[in-house]
Formats: sequence, structure tokens, C-alpha cells
Amino acid sequence: MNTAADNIIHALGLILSNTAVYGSQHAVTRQAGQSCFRLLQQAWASGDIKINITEQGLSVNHDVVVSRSPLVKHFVEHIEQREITNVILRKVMTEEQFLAFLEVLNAKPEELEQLGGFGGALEAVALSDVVGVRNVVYREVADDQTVVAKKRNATLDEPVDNGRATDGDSDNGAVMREILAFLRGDDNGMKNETAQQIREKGADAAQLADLILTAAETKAFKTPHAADENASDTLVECLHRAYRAMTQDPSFHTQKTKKQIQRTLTLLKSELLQKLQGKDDIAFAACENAIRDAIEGIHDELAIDALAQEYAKKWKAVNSSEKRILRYLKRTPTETIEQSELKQRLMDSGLDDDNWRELLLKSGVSQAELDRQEKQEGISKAVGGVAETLKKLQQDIAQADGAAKLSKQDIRGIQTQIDGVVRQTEKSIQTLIDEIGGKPRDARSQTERPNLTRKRLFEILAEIGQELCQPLSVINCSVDMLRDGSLGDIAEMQKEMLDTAADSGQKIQKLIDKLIAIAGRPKGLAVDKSIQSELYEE
Amino acid sequence: MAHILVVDDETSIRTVLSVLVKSLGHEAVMCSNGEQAIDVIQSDQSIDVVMTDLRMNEVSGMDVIASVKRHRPQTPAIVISAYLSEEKLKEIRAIGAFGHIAKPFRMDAVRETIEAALSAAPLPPEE
Repeated sequence: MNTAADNIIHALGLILSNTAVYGSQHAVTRQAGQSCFRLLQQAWASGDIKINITEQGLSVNHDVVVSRSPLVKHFVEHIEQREITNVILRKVMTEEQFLAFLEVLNAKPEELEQLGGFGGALEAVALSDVVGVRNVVYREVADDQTVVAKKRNATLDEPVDNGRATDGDSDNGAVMREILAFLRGDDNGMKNETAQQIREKGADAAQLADLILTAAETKAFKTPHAADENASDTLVECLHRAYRAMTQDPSFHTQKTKKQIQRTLTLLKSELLQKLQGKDDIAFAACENAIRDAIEGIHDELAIDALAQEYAKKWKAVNSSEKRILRYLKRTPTETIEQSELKQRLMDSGLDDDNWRELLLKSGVSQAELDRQEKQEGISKAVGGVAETLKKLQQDIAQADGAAKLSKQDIRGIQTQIDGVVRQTEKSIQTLIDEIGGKPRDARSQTERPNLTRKRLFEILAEIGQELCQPLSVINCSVDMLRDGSLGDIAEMQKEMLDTAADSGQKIQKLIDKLIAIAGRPKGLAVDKSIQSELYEE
Repeated sequence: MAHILVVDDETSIRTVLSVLVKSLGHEAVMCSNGEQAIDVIQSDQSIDVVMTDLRMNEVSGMDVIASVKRHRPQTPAIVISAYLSEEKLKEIRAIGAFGHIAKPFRMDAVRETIEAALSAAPLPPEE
């Protein structure tokens, strides 16, 4: 028959098991938590509840747990992994505090380690008053000193400088303390190593969010007035320091790193907001807007930074291109400059006449030569004028049709005008052709093609292949559902049409297959080298 | 009836998958981007299966799967994307995706993958 001790451990084991399978917020987990709390309330009638693991076994208030159920075993393994040997659940504990305690108990060992152990994590969420715990602690000891005792409730901030840790991974502990000290602003300077560590933590947004929250909370704890004044400011300051560490990345100037930071911040915001929702502390729970504003501000900052960088880069590129163009213009005989492919390309790209003249002057073309070119432009303008006249005539005819019927004489007059304009246009165009001594523009453009590299062409084809997959999925799936009758009955004739549509879909799919076989996959679907290297290491 | 989270930045894809999921007798929860999906994954405990596009702005399908694995490790996550190389398929498996549906997809492929994911999802343990 199970004892009260068995029941409590069994209930705790069930919560841990359900959390592992469904997560802490799942209905079955919450139900297990409520049942366990009711059991604890009964046990608290006799005082605090002490859970111990000793060489003799597991006990609750000195009653040894006799059950060997998988849930009891699971509980023991779980707390042993976290190096917890003694927990006291004080009878003043509320149900909300018990749920917060479960969150800490469910944290991964490595997460607890970052928070300074189980005791440190409890302290970080202000549970030290209702949960007593013994676990390992870092502290300064002399070389010849032997440490045998364990200290109650490890703290995050015990000095380790010039000392040796008594237990656990001292290097990691020291680094975590340095990170927290930096995030809190205890240390205004930033060691490269600390910045590097924070960037590495940034790869795991949840972990970084925990560190920022812990830093903010411990700062508020150390200086109580800080929390009273404005907890959100404290939290945002810690967040900004984490961002400062990210900007210390040697590759920060690259767009890739900036995009990575933006992504980290987006995930970090999500994690912080999620974690803040679970906080009991009203001051911290009210920080949500501050976090949103702060991260939005950083995003803006990064965007402006990227724009400025892009602008500077383009400006340099423009300067460099202009120098090359001027060199080319100097080498090109003046009489052929106007017919050059370069001019055509620049004009097609949006360069206007004034810009072109400016370029020519910079390249050393004389003003007199430019004046001669003005005459040629005059011809072009004349052609433009003819086009304008034709347009106007067309409008006049349309208006006349609408207003009243035109007389034969009127029509003959208009025809005469049109004939004159056409002859004038032909003459002007021929003059222009003779002047430039080249092919008409239309004939030239027909033979020209964008100068795409083979690689770029394949990239475009790959993107097209990918984009075609989207609508074809919709068509295929919709037709399938209709044919299948999933969306209601269909008539025989409708089915025939749908069969035809499905066949056509198959044909398009084959074409896309061919396209992808030739062009490959778009960049975004290429393999990730870092993940690949990890896979092949395994 | 299962709750299936569909994440795709293409409206037409979301619509057709929503209709398909409903025709299979399930409830569809729609998200148009990865960030929104991560919020749902963290807050909506009723989600049984996650189906996500791979290529999305800012927060990608890989991030969505990583979030599922972190917050709801038992929930199967299915990737919907264009053709993938064997290496890329290994990658998505390595980060914990349950399966992959290639675009352009057919109804049967989606249906079979959803059914497989639902049968793989664990039932609540007996107390």
C-alpha cells in the first residue's frame, strides 16, 4: 500500500513525465500539477515538506519512499541529473509559486547551470523564500583546503577570481557570471570573450532570453529601488547590452550577420514575451511593451545602418564606374561617341541628356563639339514633334467624329495634313539615319539581348521553377479534391473536365521537373554547410 | 478531430490546405509567417501537427521546426517545400522534422503525410 510519501513523489513524477511529453502548459500536465498541489496541502498540515535523497534512498519528511513505480524512478533520475539532494517545500507556498517551482524543476540541467544551479534559478524567480534547496556552489578556496560541506541556496554572484571552484565546471560558471555582470551593467567594459559568449548564446534565443531576464531580475534584487523605479528600463538596458555584444561581431559589417542578428532579435522577442507571461512579478509582466519597442528600435537601427552601408557601397561603385566610363570615353573617337553602345545603355538605364553632356565634358569633349551634337538632338526633337502632331490630329479626328459629321473637304484637308506629316517624318528619320550612320534603333534593339551570365540565367530559371510549383500545387490539389468528391458530388461531364485539367497539371509538372533538372534549385533551398558538416561528422 | 497548424506565406497555398484539412475532418489553424507560427506553437497547446513552408521571410520554416522541437517536442512537424536534394532532406530530418511534402503537391500526398503524423503523435499517458 502506498504511503503519503509515495503519493507525493508519484504525483511529482507524473508532472515531470507529462511535461516531457506534452509540455508544461498541456491540459494533462496542468491537471497533474493541481492534483499534486492538493496532496501537498494535506501534507503541509504537519509542517514543511522535506524531500531527501540519501544513500539509504528517497524520503519525504524522513518517511522512505517504498514505491518503485516508473514515475518515482523518473523523479529520482530527474533530480539527480540536476544534482539536487534536498528540497524543502515550505507550507507558505501558493499554487502559483508551486507552478513556478515546477518550471524551474523542469529546466534542463545546462539551463540551470547557466543560472548558477537549481538554487540560483529559484533565486532568480524569487522562490527562495518558499523552496529550500541544497546543491553545489562555486566559491573561493585555498589550494590546501578540502571542502566537504555543501551550502544552502547557491548564489549567482559569489566571487571566483583567483580562486578555484569546489564543484562543477568552474570555467563555465565564471563565464556565466561575467555574462550576467555585463548584461546587468556591473562592468562597463566588455571582454571580447564575454561578447563572444553572448553571441554564441544568441544562437539559442531561449537561452539568451533566460540570461537577460536573470540579469534584469538580479539587478532589481541587488538594487531594490531599481525594480521599484522602472523594471522595464532595467530589462531593456540588459537587452541593449546583449545587442551591443552582438554588434561586436567582427563580421557585423556584413549584411549576412546583420540579417542573422535581426532574426535572433525576432526570436528573442518571442522568447522574452513568452517568458514574461509566466512571471508572477507584476513589474516584469508589465515590460512587454517596452520589449516590443526596444526590439523594434533595434530593428530600425539595423535597417538604417544597412541602408547607409548600401548607399556608401553604391556611391563608391558609382564613382568607380564613372572613372571607368570616362576612361572609355577618352579613348573613343569623338565622332563615334554619340553612336556608342555605352550611350544607348546609359540612356536605357535612365540617364538623361544633361547627365550625358556632363559626362562628356568631364571626359574632355569640348563645348564646341557638344554644340555640334546639339544640332543632331534638334533632329531628334523634330521627330518627336512630328509624333506629337500625329497624336494631335488623331485627337482632332476623334473629337470631330463625336461632335458632328465631317465634310468631304474636311476629310481631304486632314488627309493632306497627314500625308505631309508622314513625308516630313520619313525625311527626318532618314536624315537622322544618315547623320548617325548606323542602323535604326528598332533594328538594333531586336538583335540585342541582356548580357546575362550562364550562372545568373540558371538562378533565374531555378526561381521560376520554384515559383511555378506554388500555383500548380493549388491547381493540382483543388482538382484532386473536386474529382475525389471531397467537396461534394460532381456530374459526369464535370468529372471529364476535371480529368482533363488533372492531365494538364501533370504535363506542367513534367515541364517543371525538366526545368529543375536543368536549372537546379534556388539558393534558399541549398544545403546548409554547417548542418551538413555536423551530419557527416556523425 | 485534430488541430493542424498550417504555415505558408502564400495565401492560395494556405487556402487549399485549409480546405483539405477540413475535408479530412480536422481543424486548420493558419499562419502567414514564421513569427506568428512560433507564437501559436508557444501559446496554443491544442496543436497536434505543424505543417510549414520552408522559404519564408525573416523567420524560416527551419526556425519554426526548431521552435516545435523546443516547446512541443512530441508534436510532428511537416515541411512543405519545392523539390529538395537528399542532403537538404537529411538536414530537415536532423533538426527534427517528421516528414516532407514536395511542391507541387497532390491531395493524396498531403493526406497520407497528415495521417502518418497523427498516428505517430503520442496519446495522453494513463494516470
